[in-house]
Amino acid sequence: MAALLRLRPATSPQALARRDALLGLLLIAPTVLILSAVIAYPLATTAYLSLHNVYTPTLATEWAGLSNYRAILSGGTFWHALATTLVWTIGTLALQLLFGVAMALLLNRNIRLRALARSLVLFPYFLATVVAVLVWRWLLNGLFGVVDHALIALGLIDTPVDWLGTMPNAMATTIVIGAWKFFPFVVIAVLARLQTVPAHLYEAARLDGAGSWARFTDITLPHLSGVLGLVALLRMIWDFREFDLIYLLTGGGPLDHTRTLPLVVYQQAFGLNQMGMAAAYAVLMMLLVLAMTIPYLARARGRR
Amino acid sequence: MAEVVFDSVCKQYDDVVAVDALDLTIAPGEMVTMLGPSGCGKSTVLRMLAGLVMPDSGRILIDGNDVGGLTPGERDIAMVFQTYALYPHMTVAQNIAYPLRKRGVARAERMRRVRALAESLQIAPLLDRRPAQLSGGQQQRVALGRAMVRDPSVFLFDEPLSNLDAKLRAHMRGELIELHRRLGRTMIYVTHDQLEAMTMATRIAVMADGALQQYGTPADIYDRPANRFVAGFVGTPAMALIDGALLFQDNRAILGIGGLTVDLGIRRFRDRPVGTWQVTVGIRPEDVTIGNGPFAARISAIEPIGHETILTLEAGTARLCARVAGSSLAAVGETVRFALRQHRLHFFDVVSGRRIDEIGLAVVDGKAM
Repeated sequence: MAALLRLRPATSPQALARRDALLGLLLIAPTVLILSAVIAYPLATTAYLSLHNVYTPTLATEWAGLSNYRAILSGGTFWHALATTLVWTIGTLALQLLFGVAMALLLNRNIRLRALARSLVLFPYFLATVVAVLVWRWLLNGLFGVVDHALIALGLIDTPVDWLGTMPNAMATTIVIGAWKFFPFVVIAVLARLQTVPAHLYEAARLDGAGSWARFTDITLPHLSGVLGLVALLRMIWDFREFDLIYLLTGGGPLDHTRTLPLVVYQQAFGLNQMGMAAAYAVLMMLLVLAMTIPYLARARGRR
Repeated sequence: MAEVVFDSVCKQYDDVVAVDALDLTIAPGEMVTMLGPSGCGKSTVLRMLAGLVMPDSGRILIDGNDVGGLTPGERDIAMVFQTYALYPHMTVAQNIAYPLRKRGVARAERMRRVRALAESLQIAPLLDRRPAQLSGGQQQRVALGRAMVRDPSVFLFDEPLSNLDAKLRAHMRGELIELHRRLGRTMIYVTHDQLEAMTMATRIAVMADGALQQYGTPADIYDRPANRFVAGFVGTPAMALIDGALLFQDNRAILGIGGLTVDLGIRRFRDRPVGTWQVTVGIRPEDVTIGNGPFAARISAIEPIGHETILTLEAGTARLCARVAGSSLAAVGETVRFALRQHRLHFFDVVSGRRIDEIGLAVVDGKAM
């Protein structure tokens, strides 16, 4: 009899949980919709295009299956462009990290006009790429460029150097200008981390007999390892996909020596009017970028 | 064991004088606590000795050698920080071994010494852990281990116990006293906690506003404070400091404070001056006896602590505290009678704040009657 008299709540826990779940779905719906519109739809469209032959001016489309991919992977253009992309990415990334960390260490010290120096250092990063490239092309111009002029005046060279028209100069110049343009990103991230390293650690290390180099390797670097990993990953992805700086500086030349994968995609889509091939290149690039993030994600998961 | 000497050491930060002409000689093997309120310069003194801060002028000598030109690592000094400053990415063993590694001690010898030290500090099971995996007390021991491992001649402690909870703090106080006894090294300990200073030190250096106020044994500091600052700073609850007048008449000294008149007799003042002197009188709570006595006061507050009760009394315009054993049945607002232990009263010059002693008024403050 007692069981019959047991009080029952007006709403069961299951019903409450269902109501909460519904509210949850409603709340994340806007985000899901926007992400679908700006990420999922273009992604699906690209994948769809990559399986077709598409003539860019008319967008006339015919089914091609995997033939675009077959053509890309069996031809030489892709592999050459991939090698070029890797040289550019690794070269400019290494310089960015080197300059970035060095500058952050400098700006973290108690130098005069530190606030001013900190803002000035961000300048290249905020400058529009097209402006920066135009200025650099003037600076490097063989007839009236300041760079050649200064080097000749210093007696380092006799005749102007062809900075962008020959190899390996073109690649080296592009890498250095890329490093100049993007190293402030490294500075910002590293400087922020440096300011959180407890000063007591450096004092303890000084008392323990560590010199300045030992303090850098034993205290500063271990503290920076996390942020450097993240910054290197982000910059690697962005450098890998870098288009405007290289396109404006060399246009991919001389010949195709600085033609990285993004430039190939552009050339396929609008130079050769093969939107399907361009899409296939883009899909392959996306897979490569995904592969780059795997070690980082694995490490992040391992740490948790 | 090492003697540490500060010879008119000065340090200024921008407009603020952190340490003003410090003269202090610390005998070998002492455990000295630098006691003072925040910003009194005590940490700066410690950091100048460590070599982390350079003095503007003056000399610092360790065992007779001027250490001004030596780096912190060359001074044969170890320091324990308030935050412990353990290297977060190194294991406990690597942390303790670090000073040895930087001095080129061979790996096998390093390991042997770290292991022996870990045994004595009871942290041997923790050697492979990282600082983040340790409790505050364990981190404290590791920091001690890192300081002890290279057997320095001077140990510095910068408020090392302030990040621990009360119970652990009391325990670590005992361990540090034991450590000092065992190692016999000169130790200098900065704190703003007078309980730490009184219990641990062989001598206390009380500082305020960058200047050394008094250097002496804990008993000296407590029983014979050199000036009004030391008198008010050391002791809980604080010594009551009441302005009053000393009247010398017919070879007797009569004290008037806040409407009370106390006949001090003639024994205290050797010089037997005449006339009226403005003084500050210091009265410790334990020198006020409640129950009988010539004075009456109203109880304005009662703080029961358990083993004793602190009564705040108002007698005329004077406010003072009294310590009563156990719990008190008195109520706020009641009037009680009390007496003062006259031979335990402290007198300070109203102008300079300096202690007026048996040596005589005229000699101490330089004013002749």
